[in-house]
Order: sequence, then C-alpha cells, then structure tokens
Amino acid sequence: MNYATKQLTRELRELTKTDNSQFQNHAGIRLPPRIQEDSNLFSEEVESFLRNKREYARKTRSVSEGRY
Amino acid sequence: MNFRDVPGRRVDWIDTRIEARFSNFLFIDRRYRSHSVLRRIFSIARMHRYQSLLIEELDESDCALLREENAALRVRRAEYQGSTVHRLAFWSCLPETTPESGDLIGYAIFKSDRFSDEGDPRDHIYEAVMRPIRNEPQNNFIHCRRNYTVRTEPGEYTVQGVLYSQQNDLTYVCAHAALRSALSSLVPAADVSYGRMNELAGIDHSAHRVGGADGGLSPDQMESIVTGVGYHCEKIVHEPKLGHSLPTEFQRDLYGFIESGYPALMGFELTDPIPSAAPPERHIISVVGHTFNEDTWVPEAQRAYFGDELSYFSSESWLSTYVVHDDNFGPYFCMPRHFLKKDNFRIILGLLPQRIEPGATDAEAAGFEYLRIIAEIVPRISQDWYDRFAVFTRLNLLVLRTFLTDRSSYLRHLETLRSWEGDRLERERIEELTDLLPECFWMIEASAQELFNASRRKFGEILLSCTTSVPEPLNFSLFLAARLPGLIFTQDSSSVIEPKPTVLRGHTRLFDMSSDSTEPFPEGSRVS
Repeated sequence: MNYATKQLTRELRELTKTDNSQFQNHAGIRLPPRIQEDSNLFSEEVESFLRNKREYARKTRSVSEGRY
Repeated sequence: MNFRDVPGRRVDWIDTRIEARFSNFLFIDRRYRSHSVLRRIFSIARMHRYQSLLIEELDESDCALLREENAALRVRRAEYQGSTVHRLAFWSCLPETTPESGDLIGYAIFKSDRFSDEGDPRDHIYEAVMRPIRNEPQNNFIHCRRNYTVRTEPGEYTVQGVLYSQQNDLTYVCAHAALRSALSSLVPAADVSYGRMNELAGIDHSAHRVGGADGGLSPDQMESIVTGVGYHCEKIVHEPKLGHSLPTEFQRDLYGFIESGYPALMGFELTDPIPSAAPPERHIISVVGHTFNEDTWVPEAQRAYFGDELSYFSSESWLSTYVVHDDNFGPYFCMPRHFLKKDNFRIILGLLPQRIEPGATDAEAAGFEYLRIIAEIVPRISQDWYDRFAVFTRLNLLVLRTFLTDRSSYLRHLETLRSWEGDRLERERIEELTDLLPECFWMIEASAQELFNASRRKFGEILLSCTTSVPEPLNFSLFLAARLPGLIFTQDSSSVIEPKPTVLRGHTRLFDMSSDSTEPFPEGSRVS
C-alpha cells in the first residue's frame, strides 16, 4: 500500500472509533461555520495550474496551423 | 430536402440472413466495387442481426440537395458526368413484410460520381446513420446520438444514431465530414449541408478549392463554419514546431466536451514513412462518445507506481476508449484512451452551444480547490458520509466528474435523489437552489473509488459558473453551490459560503446523461 492508501485506511478506521464531532448536526444546536473568503485559503499549486492554462490559451488563440 | 425524405425507386429487397447464405463480402464485391467503408457499415448491420436490405435509387429530380451537390461537382471538375445514388436500408425483419417501428437498424447513402477521364466511378458514403452496436448497459456512452426518420418504400421509420459521412476529396474533405457528424448532433435540423459549410468557409470550387492537391480546411475555416451555424467552437492546439506545446494532457480537455454531451473534433499529424521537406499530412475525426471500464487498473497504478502527483482522480481515468467516426474507415470505432500520442496530436475543436468560461479542466481544478477548503474548515460533522468525504478530500483521493448541465436537468436530478435509507432532499432546499442557479453551469460530482466506478454513486456535487472568467487570484466568484452529505453550501452576497443542513445524509446516484437531461432542442429529436 502506498502512503495515501495507508493514511486513508487509518483515517477511515478512526472515524468508526470516535465521535469527536466539531459541529452538531442540524437536529442539534450548532451548524458548521460559514466560510469567509480569504486569499490564504487557496493553494499556490492550483493557482499556478490555472495561470499556466490561461496563458497558453491566450498565446494560442489565433493559431490556425495546418489543413485538415 | 435531404436524402432521408426523398422517395426512392426500389432496386431490390434482399434476404440477408446467414441461413439464406447471404455474404456481406460477396455482395459488396459484386454490387459496390468492394467498398471498404460499406463493409464496415454492413458489419454493424450484421452485429445487429439484420435480416434484410432494401435498396432504393434516388433521383436528382426529386432531391434539391442532390442537385446542389452535383452542381458543386460540375464547377469543381469539368469532366464530371453525373451520379448514381443508392439508399440502403437495413432491417431486422424479412423482405416484403411490414416492418415494426423498431425494425430499422440504419441506412446508408452510397453515391457514385462518374467522370469522363476516369474508368470507374468514384464511390463514397454520402451519409449513414446506424444504430450504435453497444449502449449504456454495455458501458458505451454515445451522448451525441439522436433520432433520424427515413422515408422508405414501406413507410417512415426512425433510427437512433450519430450521422457518419465520408469525404469525396473534391468538394468536401475530412474536416467537412467530421464537422458534419458533429454539427448534425447539435443543430435542430439534424444536418448541415456541404454547400452551406463551403459558403461559410469561402470555398467556391473555382478560385478557392479543397480536395486533392488543393488540401483541406484550416482551423480558422472550421471555426467559421461552427460559428456560422450558431455554435461556439473551443480550440485547443498543440503545435510544438511553432513553439506551442500544450502543457497538459489533451485527453482531459477532450473528455470535458464529450462528458458534457457535446461532440468534438480531434486533428492529428500523420507519421510520414518517408520523411520529406513537405509538412506531414493531417487528418481530423469526430469524437461522439466514450466507453467506461469500472475495473481499470489505471487510476491506482498511475498514482502508486508512476509518480503522478495528483490532487484527485478525474473520472476520465476510468474511460477506456473514445467512440469516433473516422471518415476514412467508418462509424463507431473505439479509439483507446492513450493510443494517439501527443507527438501526433495537433488540435481539438469542441463544439458548444455558447461560449463557456472556464473550460472543463479549469472548472475541475477550481471545484477541487473549493471542496478542499470546505473539507479543511468543516472536517467532520459526525455523519458517516460527510466525514468520509472530508477524509478522501484531505488525502487527495476524491474522484471528480465534470460536465456542463442546465438548471432544469439538475433540478430533475435532485428530485429523484434518494439515499440508501430513502431520504430525499427537502423541497425547501430544492427551491433555494432553483432561485440561485443560472440556466447553464458546471457540475462537478465528487465521489470515491468503488463508490464511483462500481456503485455509480457520489458524495455530492459542486456547481460552478460557466460564464465567469477564472479570477486571478482565485476567489469564490465561480462558486454557485455545493451539495454534500447532510449539508448544502451556498454563497451569500458578501462572498461568504454558508452551510445549511439537509436530511439527505447518504451517498446518491451519479447524474445520468440519458435519463436526467432535459431535451435541449424541443423542435429536434436529440435523445441525450
């Protein structure tokens, strides 16, 4: 098993063992928190992927090469 | 008028059963000059266990479209003398019986053009619509199919399929044929003539020609045709010789169109066995569906053994082949997912009803990011399926399936959702979503291995705008809503994502293109 699979097994087993809910369900009193927009929430990896894609699309928009 | 509406003159109605000792090969060798694509079409009919073949001859005087095609040939080549056109209808009933409504397996228009300076006529399949050999129960998803009604001697009968056509290399080439297949699956009239395409591309067959040494259509001309008939064309190119190397896998982009139910064209450069100074030839085909393999080894192996640093599994990993029409070979061929290498790949043209922004892969990346943030801020609510969602998300093990959908299809999907405990989404929650959703948007379904590929179920889905540019830096402007086990997240006017409870706490079935989609073209007869 690779690392992610081992970790998954461990965490799923953990779910069945404990009930350490941070937030009670809607039959209870408290809902999970609202999520405020914050630039720190977003990962650089995804930002960079999107930036590269956008840049490539812009560069190649007018390319019309070859005959089909 | 098209070739389906034209009254034909019966030439023959033949018993084609194997027990009647009918041979496809022998028949095509004797009657249709051993035409190879016709053999493919007959073989599809054989796979459907066809019992008879009705041959009708169509006359130019009955068909305006045939007159138009022949007039173009006269302009293109002075040696053109005339054509013979046969409409071949394949039936699952015997000759001289009255067919039942489902008995038409398909039809093909076989056109033979005669030229004074050539011995044999030039034959090609002007068009054919055959029932696909396999469908959803066999894991074949041919979203682009639609109904075509044919007026035959025994009456009007309907067949469901994707229109295939072959170039004549004089007035239309592979790009025309691929565009015709793709556009036919979209436009209300279910077909676009070559005359109209050439008009839009500026081809007049005298000063501006295609075919033979005159070559084919440029990407710009293809885009002009698509936009000229009212659709949007999304272009993805890979031209390493011009310094444009696509940074991502082209298969992911292709899948984004196909999984949304729209056709795409895929162009590639041919490998020249004797390299020369001239640029290698190119060819383009239409992609009309895909197959699915729930037991594929690829997603796990790619990550565990071959070092793919992925944040999630794309559902495309379970795609086995693309279903393509190749005008050189015939309809409904399966092209294995990674058969076409990037070295040869050159262009994808995705056909869409409107300009879409962001594209599928960008929407999927942004959707994953939103889900990751939700799982990070709400890691556990003590409900089994939400908590599992959060674990899979945190460990980069989600399976994401991304496609375009419309509000009415999505709401219909919500109405039918049930957890295994029988819980359904509250009316109040459905109404809230109805109020906030635009007409068209991206749906990104979130699931996990086994839950996705074996049970065909999911944790939930996130909905993103398809008419908003990806903001830089990324923010919540693409986010519309997310439905997860036990919680629905919507965004208020101050860019705050707010959770609301729902009793639907279990996993639910995946969106089904064939049963959940509403009819996008009421005047047409598209089926998915």
